[in-house]
Amino acid sequence: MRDQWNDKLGFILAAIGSAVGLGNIWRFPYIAAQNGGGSFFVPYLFAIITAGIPILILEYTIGKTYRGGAPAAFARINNRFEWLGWAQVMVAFMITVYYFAIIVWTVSYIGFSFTQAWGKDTTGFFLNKYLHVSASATQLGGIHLNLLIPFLIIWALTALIMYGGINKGIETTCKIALPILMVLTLILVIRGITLPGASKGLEYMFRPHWDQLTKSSVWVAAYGQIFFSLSIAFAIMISYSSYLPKKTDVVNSAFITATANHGFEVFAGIGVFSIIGYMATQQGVPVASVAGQGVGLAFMTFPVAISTLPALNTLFGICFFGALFLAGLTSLVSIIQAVVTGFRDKFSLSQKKAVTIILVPAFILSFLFITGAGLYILDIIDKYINSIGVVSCGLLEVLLIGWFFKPEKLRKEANEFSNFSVGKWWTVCIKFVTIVVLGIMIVLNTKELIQKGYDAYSSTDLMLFGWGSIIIVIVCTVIFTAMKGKEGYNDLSKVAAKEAEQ
Amino acid sequence: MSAGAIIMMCIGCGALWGGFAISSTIGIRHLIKERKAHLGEPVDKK
Repeated sequence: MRDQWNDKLGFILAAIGSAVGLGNIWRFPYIAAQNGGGSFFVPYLFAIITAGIPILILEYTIGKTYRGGAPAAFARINNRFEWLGWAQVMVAFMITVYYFAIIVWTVSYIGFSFTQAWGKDTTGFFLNKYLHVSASATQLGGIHLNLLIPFLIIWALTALIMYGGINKGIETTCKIALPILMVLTLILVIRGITLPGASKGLEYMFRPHWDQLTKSSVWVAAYGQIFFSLSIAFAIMISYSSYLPKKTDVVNSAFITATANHGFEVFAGIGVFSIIGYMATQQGVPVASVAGQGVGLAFMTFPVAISTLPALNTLFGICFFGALFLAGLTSLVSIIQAVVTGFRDKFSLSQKKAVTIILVPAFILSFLFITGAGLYILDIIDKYINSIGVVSCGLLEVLLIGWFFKPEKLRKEANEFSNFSVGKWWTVCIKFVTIVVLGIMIVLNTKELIQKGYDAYSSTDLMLFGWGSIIIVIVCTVIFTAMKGKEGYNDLSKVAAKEAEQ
Repeated sequence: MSAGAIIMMCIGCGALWGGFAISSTIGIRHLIKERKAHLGEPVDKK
C-alpha cells in the first residue's frame, strides 16, 4: 500500500522543511541587499503571488491527483510527458550528490565552534586546513580523514531517515528539526539585533532604493529567488504531495508553505545582516565590504564574527551552524525522496529497495566532493544544474501543463477540497507570467554561461563538470524514460482501482 | 536605521508572517470543523 502522511501538519512541515534550505539563510539577505534593499520586497512579494504560489499549487495538485512522483504523475497526465518527470528526478539526483558535502561542512563547523578552531585566518583555515583545496577542479588531491568521518556519519543518518520512509523517517525528522531550527534562528536574531552596529547591517539590507525597481535584472533576481527557494521544478513537491490523502486542501497548503518559507528567510536575513553590521563596525569598514553570500559567508565571514563576539561565542556558533545543518538536512531528505518516489512508482519498488538503489551510486559519487577539488566541482555543478537544469525543468513544466494540457482541469482539481478557491488568475500566471519570466531567465543564464563562462574556472573544468552534468541529466532522462516500467504504472484509473482495493 | 528601512522591514515581515497567520488560521478552523463532523458533533456553520 502507498504510504501516506500521518496528518496534514506532517506534510506541511515536511514541505516547509524542504523549502527552507541553506539558500534561505545564506542567499536571500545578500540578494535583497544587492537588488534594491527594502524596495526589493515589491518584486519579491509580486513574484510570490504570481509565480511561487501558483507553481506550488500546480505541483501539489499534480502529485495529489495523479498519485505519483514526477515521472509517473506526468506519464499519467500524458504518456508523452514522462521524460519531463525523469529530467526533474535526474536534476534532483545531481543536487543530492553534492548537497551532502555542504551538510558535512556544517557538522564539522558545529564542532569547530566549541574552540573557534578556525583561528584568525578563517579563509585560510577553511580552504587549506579543512578542505585541503587543490589547484583546480581536475586535480582531485585525495580524501582527508577530517572530512571522511563526518561524511560517513551524515550518510548513515540520512540512510536511517530514508529507510524509515515517509512517516517514521521524513515526517518524524521534520517534526523534530523544524521547531529546533526556528528556536536556533530566533536565538541568532535576538543576539544579532542586540549587538552594537546591528542597525548598520539592517540599514544596508532594508534601506529602499526605489530607482532599482526600473531595472529588469532586479525583477529577474526576485523571481529567481522565489523559484530556487521553494523547491519547485525538481520533483520534490510532486513527490511529497503524492503521499497526501485525496481530500487534502492543496491551495491553502501552498499558501502556508510559501509564506512560512519566505517569512523565514526574511527573519533569518535580519539575524545575518545584524551580525554583518556588527562585524563591519568592529573592523571599522563599510558593511558592503564584509557582506557576502553562500559558502564564503557561512564558512569564511561568519566564523570571524563568531570569534569577535563579546560573549557566548560557542553558543552562537552552534546556533548558526546548527541552523544550517537542520535546514540542509530537511531539504536533503526531500530531494532524495523525490528520486526515490520516481523509481518506486515506475518500477513498483518498496521504499527500502528504492532507497538502496539511489543511495549506493549517490554515496560513491559524493566522494568526489570531499576531495581537494570538491569545492570547485560542487560550485560548478551547482551553478549549471540550477541555472540551466532547474530553470529548464520549470519552464517545460509550465509550458506543457499550460499549453499542451488543460490547466483549467487542474484548477478544478485544486479547488475540489480547498478551504478557499483559486481563481482564474492562477491559470493566467501558469500560462503567461511564469513562462515569460522563466523564459527570460533561461535565455539570460545560458547566454551568460556560454559567453562569459563561470567565475575563474577554465573552459575544460566548465565543460567537464558544468555542461557534463547537464549532458548526464539528458542521457539518464532518455534511458529511464525508455525503460519498461511495471504494467499499468502510467494509467491513473488502474492505480486508483488498486488503491481502492487496498 | 532610517525610517524607510524600518518601514520596509515591517512590510516584508508583516506581509509574509501575516499571510502565514491567515492561511494557518483558515487551515486550523477547517480542521476543527472536520474533526467535529467526524465525531458527529454539531458543526458551527459560521
